[in-house]
Amino acid sequence: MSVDGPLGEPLGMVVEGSLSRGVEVRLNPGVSVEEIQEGVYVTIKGERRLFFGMVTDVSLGSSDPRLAQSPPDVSDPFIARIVSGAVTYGALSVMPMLTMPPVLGDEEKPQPAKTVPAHFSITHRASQRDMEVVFGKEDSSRFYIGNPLDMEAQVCLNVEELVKRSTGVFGKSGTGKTFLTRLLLVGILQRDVASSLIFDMHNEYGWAGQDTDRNRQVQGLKQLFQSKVSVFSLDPESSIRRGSKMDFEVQVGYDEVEPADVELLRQTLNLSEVAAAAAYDLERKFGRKKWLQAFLGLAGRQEVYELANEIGVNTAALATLHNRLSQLKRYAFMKPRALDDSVKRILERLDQGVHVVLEFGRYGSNLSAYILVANLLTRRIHQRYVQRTEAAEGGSGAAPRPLVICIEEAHRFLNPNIASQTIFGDIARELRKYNVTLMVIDQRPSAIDSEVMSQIGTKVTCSLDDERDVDATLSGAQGRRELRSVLQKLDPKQQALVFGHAVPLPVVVRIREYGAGGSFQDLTRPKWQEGGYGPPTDEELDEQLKALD
Amino acid sequence: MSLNLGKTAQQIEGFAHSLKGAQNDRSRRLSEAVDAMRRAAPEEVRAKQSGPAAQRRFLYAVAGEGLGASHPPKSAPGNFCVLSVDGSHIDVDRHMPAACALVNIGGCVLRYGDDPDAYLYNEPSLYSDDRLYLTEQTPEGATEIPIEGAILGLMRTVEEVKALAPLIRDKAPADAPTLALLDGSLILWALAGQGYPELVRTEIIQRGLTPALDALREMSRRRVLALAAYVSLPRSREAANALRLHLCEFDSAECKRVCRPRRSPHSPCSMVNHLLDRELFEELLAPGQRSCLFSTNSSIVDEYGRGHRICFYYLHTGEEVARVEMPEWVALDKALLSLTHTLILDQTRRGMGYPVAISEAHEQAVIGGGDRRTFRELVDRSLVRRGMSISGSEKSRSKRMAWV
Amino acid sequence: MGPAQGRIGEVVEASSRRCAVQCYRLYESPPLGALARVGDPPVYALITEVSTEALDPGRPVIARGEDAATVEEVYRSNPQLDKLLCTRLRCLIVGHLRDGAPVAGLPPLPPKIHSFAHPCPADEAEALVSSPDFARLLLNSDLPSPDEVIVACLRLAGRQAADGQGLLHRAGNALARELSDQVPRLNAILRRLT
Ligand SMILES: Nc1ncnc2c1ncn2[C@@H]1O[C@H](COP(=O)(O)OP(=O)(O)OP(=O)(O)O)[C@@H](O)[C@H]1O
Ligand SMILES: [Mg+2]
Repeated sequence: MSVDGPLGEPLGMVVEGSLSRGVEVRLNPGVSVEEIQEGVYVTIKGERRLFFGMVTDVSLGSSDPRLAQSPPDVSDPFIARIVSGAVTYGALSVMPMLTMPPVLGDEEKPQPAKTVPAHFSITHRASQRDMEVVFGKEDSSRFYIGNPLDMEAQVCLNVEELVKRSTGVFGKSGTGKTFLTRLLLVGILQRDVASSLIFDMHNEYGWAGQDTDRNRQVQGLKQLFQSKVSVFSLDPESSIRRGSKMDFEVQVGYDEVEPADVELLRQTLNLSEVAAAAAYDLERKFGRKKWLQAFLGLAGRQEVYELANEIGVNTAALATLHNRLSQLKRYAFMKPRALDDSVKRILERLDQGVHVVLEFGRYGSNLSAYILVANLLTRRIHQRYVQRTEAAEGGSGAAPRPLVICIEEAHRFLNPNIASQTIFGDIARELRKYNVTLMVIDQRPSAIDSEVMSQIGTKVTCSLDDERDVDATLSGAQGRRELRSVLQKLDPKQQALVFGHAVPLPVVVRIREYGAGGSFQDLTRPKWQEGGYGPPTDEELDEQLKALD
Repeated sequence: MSLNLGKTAQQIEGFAHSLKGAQNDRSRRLSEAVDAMRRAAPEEVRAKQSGPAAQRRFLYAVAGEGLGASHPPKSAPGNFCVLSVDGSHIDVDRHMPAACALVNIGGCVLRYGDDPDAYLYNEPSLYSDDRLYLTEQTPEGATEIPIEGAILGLMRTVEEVKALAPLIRDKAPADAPTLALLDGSLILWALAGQGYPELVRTEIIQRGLTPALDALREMSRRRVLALAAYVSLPRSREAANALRLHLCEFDSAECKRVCRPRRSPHSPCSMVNHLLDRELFEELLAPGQRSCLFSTNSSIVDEYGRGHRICFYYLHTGEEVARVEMPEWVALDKALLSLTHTLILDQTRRGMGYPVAISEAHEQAVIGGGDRRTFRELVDRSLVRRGMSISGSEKSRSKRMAWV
Repeated sequence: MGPAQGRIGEVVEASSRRCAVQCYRLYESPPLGALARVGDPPVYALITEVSTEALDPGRPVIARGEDAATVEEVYRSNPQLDKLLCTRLRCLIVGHLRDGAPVAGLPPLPPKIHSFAHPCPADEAEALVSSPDFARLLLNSDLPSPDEVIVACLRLAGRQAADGQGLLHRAGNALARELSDQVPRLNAILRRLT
């Protein structure tokens, strides 16, 4: 489809425009608007330089304003042929985004466009070469995420840039967020630029994922990367049932829960402010690490009332708190005291460059459990990162390996009511000061605190229905108006608008097929990685075959 | 001084009054005259018109039959040809820098029938120098008469007749009955009673008209060829006068004594007073019919030569009563006579009341106002180019413009 | 004996922008929209009006056929009409020969009076008609109904050209560029070209 060579198929010429609004390109008579979709890339050969831009709108124009009232007889092919082009024409709105180095293959990199191409500059469909110059080839720092619309060229993400800041993966349900995230994680894994901790709420990342469209399983990170991935589980039963190779069973001791965690559960447990705040009183009363066990150890209503009176808390509030927190007792992973220090184990793995997937098993459907555990673990891991980073800055020890913490249902941790109090809010805001960044996956980006949103470096956005979600996603982005219309027209599946630090310019991507052709070789042994991890071992092959059954 | 309009108006009133009375009287007399025409038997008419009794002070037409006779037209032949020649001229202008005149002869040949066709032409000729004079060397010395005014008009008429023979020879198919038509009278009335010198009459008749007529008569012996002249709105009274003669109760001498040339003070012939031939025939003829054949007793015609005596009849074309004249050699040939009748009627029908061939010949010949001016300018310019003074033209120009 | 081979008539009026041609024979004229090659050096004249009228402007033409069964009969019984009427062509001067090739546009000098008018050869007509300048010249002329003339001209040229469709397409494009803001008009013209 695309023309290989210095310039792609000529489409038309620039007739007007501005840097802020973009340029208008009038299509050549032979070129049908129907051949060009919004989001397509073009190069514009200006007088002095080559511009690279994106089609943000496709429109029909006519030199006669009364065309609509008295349309020509286009049923007559002769008339149709003559009228189209001379009287009616297709037009593109193009946002010039980059100026390309004058000579392709130059060392120079594309630069953000600070001007527009001159009048009558010829606009071409971006060629394979153009795309390569802009998005780079897949290599040790760039990950092939998918293809631009209408083209076979590859769009690559700069993974090093990606992990430097938080990443957002948005899209309504079923659009492919999880598949996309898995791909991004693969990209990180392939390049080994960071470790990741994945709170795998729905058990989709570790061993295998569900391909609901094809009604099959796809390999999870563990299957793909074996020893590079460690699966932790809150629910070993479930893991065993699913055939997941679990490395570690996570237990959470009551002593690990802090009053701040309760604060975070206010919404899911439906607690009043007073009730949630009572946890602090309890901590004061019973002491750190002890308060929860003591509180949950109270037998019956009477004791709770008495305690309330004793510590001067509203009895009803405390009763409610007691009632709700008692749910925790039903969680099998909750123990008065954990057998092993999960945080320690996780940190060990992360330090080794191993990626940790925490499967929630059946607790994935329990938001309270999810929020509690994710928050609790993250808080403690983050503490360690802060300590170690500061120590490294002070000259003792190495800085910890960059960490990407991956959370689904991110707005549960980052909504404006709690974002200021949760550890996730802190991580999002403090940037990569402590080498920890987030990968937030959410279908309701509008529910995420706007300050957090503004700190997200790269956004990968699948189709969104809700206007507020669209607005939230695009807030702060350049060329919002144009991106908005692009975003609104994404296919409901496996298409995403990517913009931010990891790409030189916003780009609509047909996300690559995860497990293309039933094989995952392209993920484990990408072409760029000569040798890479070596040929699959017999064991690996066996496992792959098993997964296909 | 300005006209005394008051007095003039008074007089006009009186005149109009008497005119009204005269008109009433006239229509009464007209119907009486028409009756009389109808009653005039051929023998009686002939009796009065021959011998010494025929001598009158007025001109009358000699009729071969009853005055009131009428003839329907015959049907036209399938193929036939009608042609006509007409002329127009620019007279000598004293205000022109040099004396000259222009005669433009136009003609047309119309072929009807299986192979219809038309030929139109015109041919101007300039009269200047010697051509502007009629000259004659006599023992007493040379006579020289300038060709201008009425004489130029006569010359033009002769030219028209002369042009017919070559036109017939060149453009009319020999096997189709042919009618040559002229506009106006064949009788050169302008020559009558003007006291023109003998030279003029000789030049115009003996050396002009007669040879031209001879040529046509000669042609008509070898082909079916008739010659006729068409007089529209004729003002002649020759037929009326024939009635006057018929009604006259005096003998020749007495009549000459008591009667006046134009009107008779005596009854019953006074009933004819002021009546025109065409008025009588409007009553007597139905559309398409012609009257009986008359011949003129005008003295001019006597000079035309043998066989060229001019005969005529009146023809009701449907639009008007016209006078058709022809030489005796046509009139006496029954077939040719009837050919003139049929074809002229046909021509007037095609020509919306006027013979087409004559109109077209006229259109060819006519010199319009613009052309007249152009002609003068051409003369002026040619002279100036040769370094000649044209002072004369100043006066002529001022005459043409109404200075204030 | 007719006029010299293929000759239409003679120029009787001429200016830089237009000329009038009198046909040698009554009713023997090329159709509306035909191109004539006039005079030497040749000038291309587009026939924008064909009229038949009295040769003498002072003589009105009158009805003659009340009793006739056919028009032919009227002409047969009035043979002089052939000579009194004449067919005239009003032409717009649309091109001339420059460096041996026909170009649309006004010539430096109009044709001489009495210049002969010949039918324009098809290849020359084709070159003229499909030129953008031709369309512009016509559309901007002061003709009372330029569109009719354009339609007539293009249809004729299209029929005579070797590649009629190609010609119509080129000419149509030229028109479209000129009439891009008058679609109904353009449409009306194009509709009649197919
Ligand atoms: N890159 C991809 N390769 C192959 N299939 C894909 C890809 N992306 C999406 N799909 C298909 O779309 C289905 C839904 O994708 P996914 O589970 O990632 O959506 P989601 O946005 O995470 O939905 P939810 O909001 O319900 O979690 C998948 O089961 C799979 O069939
Ligand atoms: Mg999902």
